[in-house]
Amino acid sequence: MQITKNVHDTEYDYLLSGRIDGPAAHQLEVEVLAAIRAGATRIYINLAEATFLCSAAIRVILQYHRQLKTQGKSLLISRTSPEIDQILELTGFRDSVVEKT
Amino acid sequence: MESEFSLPVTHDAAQLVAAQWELFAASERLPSKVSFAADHALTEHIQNLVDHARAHQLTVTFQAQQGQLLLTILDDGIAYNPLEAPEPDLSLPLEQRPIGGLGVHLMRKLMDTVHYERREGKNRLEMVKRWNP
Repeated sequence: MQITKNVHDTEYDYLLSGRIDGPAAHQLEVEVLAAIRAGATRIYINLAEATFLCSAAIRVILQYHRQLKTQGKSLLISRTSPEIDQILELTGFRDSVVEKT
Repeated sequence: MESEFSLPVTHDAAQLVAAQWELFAASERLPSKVSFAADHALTEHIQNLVDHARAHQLTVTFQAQQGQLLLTILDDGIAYNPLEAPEPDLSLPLEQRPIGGLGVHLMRKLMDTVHYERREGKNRLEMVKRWNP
């Protein structure tokens, strides 16, 4: 997996490309934690170029989505590929964590 | 066409099996939806084995024939039936839903059948995916 990060003020945008498996989920968590510590108020995760999304990565996204929501901040998935959309739909979390456009 | 291989249960077992799967799916020219579903199901189950079954060795078999894929994963760990995990309640609000159990849930939803048995001291999981050839 490749992670490309763009930061604008307190908004953090991550583009995740390729296979998001167990090790990649850990890498994502490290990035999200760093963003939170740096004062991020909006975190967006772009999965349009992801080819695989494991449950460990979904747990990371959900855990920090919930945590930030309680603080009046947000972590959302900004874009998905059709395959990743299917995976999120199956978990029942899609509508909660994918940004509405 | 069939492919069988064994490997030790190390922290990267799921990634190693995924690499074997990619080769097999390409050589069999499986439909992308079938390949995608099996890739996820395999990865989720093997990662669960690594995390929970205290296994030392895995044997994985891929069998593809016209319109049907059979995946068999045998491990020598403690009795571990992933299908005992309750199905998540998708009707609960996000804040009340447990985050765990997603891997097994995805396995069940992506594959057409999933069957577990404990036989001769080993865990055996079989997963089937069908498609119109």
